Amino acid sequence: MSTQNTALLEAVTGDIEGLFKAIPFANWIGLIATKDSDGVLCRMPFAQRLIGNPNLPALHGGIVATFLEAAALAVVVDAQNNPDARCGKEIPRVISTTVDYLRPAGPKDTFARAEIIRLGTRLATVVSSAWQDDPARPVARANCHFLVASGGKSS
Amino acid sequence: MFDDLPISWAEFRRRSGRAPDGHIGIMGEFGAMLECMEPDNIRVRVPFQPEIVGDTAWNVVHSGVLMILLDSLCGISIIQKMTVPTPIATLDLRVDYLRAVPAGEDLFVTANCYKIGRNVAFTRAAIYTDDPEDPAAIANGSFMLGTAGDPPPMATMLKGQNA
Repeated sequence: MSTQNTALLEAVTGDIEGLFKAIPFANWIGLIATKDSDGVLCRMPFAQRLIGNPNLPALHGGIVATFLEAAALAVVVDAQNNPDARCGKEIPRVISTTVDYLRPAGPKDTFARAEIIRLGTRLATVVSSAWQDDPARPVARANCHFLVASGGKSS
Repeated sequence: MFDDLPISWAEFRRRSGRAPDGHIGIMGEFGAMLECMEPDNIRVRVPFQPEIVGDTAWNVVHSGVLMILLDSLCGISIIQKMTVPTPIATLDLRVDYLRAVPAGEDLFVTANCYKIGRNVAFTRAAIYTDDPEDPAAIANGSFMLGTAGDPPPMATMLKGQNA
């Protein structure tokens, strides 16, 4: 198995907006990444098929988790794009994700930003936060670990 | 209620009273099939489709697809075991990705609720392809009980059936 995803790398080098278009499932959900003065901002436009509980209604918890993890991926890729960054430069592979659900996520657009806690030669640790109306009132948060380079010893 | 499995997700939603306006949800979009619905043994099969790929070079299924399946099955495992029908909401979900899922393979998802307390229920779920002993992802999920909204209709139906 190749450790370099050339299609993804080409899509994202210097252009974080292209990231989710290069990922079929992220594209299917409709995720959008943009860069502003605060870093990478991700948006998940509302769509009916993202509803998990039609009674409330509320977005599917797994969809919110997917969005948080995608936002975490985006900040890692953005950091890797920095030519001066001394970190693993392979396409990040997620190892684990833990999500805390804080408030119901209603049937509307959702936003997310993520923060790198540590980016090393093999591992990235990232926290991300998603909100709908107010960034200070997140609907969910996640903690993600990514492999950014394979270890020297094979398992 | 589930003695003629497997059934499609649309049929599962219809029978469990969760299909207003024909809403089949994300699991229905995945083409999920309910294969087994017994105490401590829920199993869903998800056929491969190109939209669930996460990485076209590695050609593996997207991790988010796995989280969606795991979260869904954790919730259903609680609803199935409820003695008092009550609405639930995910409190936290931890997913460990043990290995990649190659594109093209059917996914199997299993879940088990091992504790329903007064306020919180605890669940485990796993995803595998050909070998249940070689899971691709495992999850631990805890859910709040008695949250907003109506109780899941399925809980009421199963309770009536089991009574």
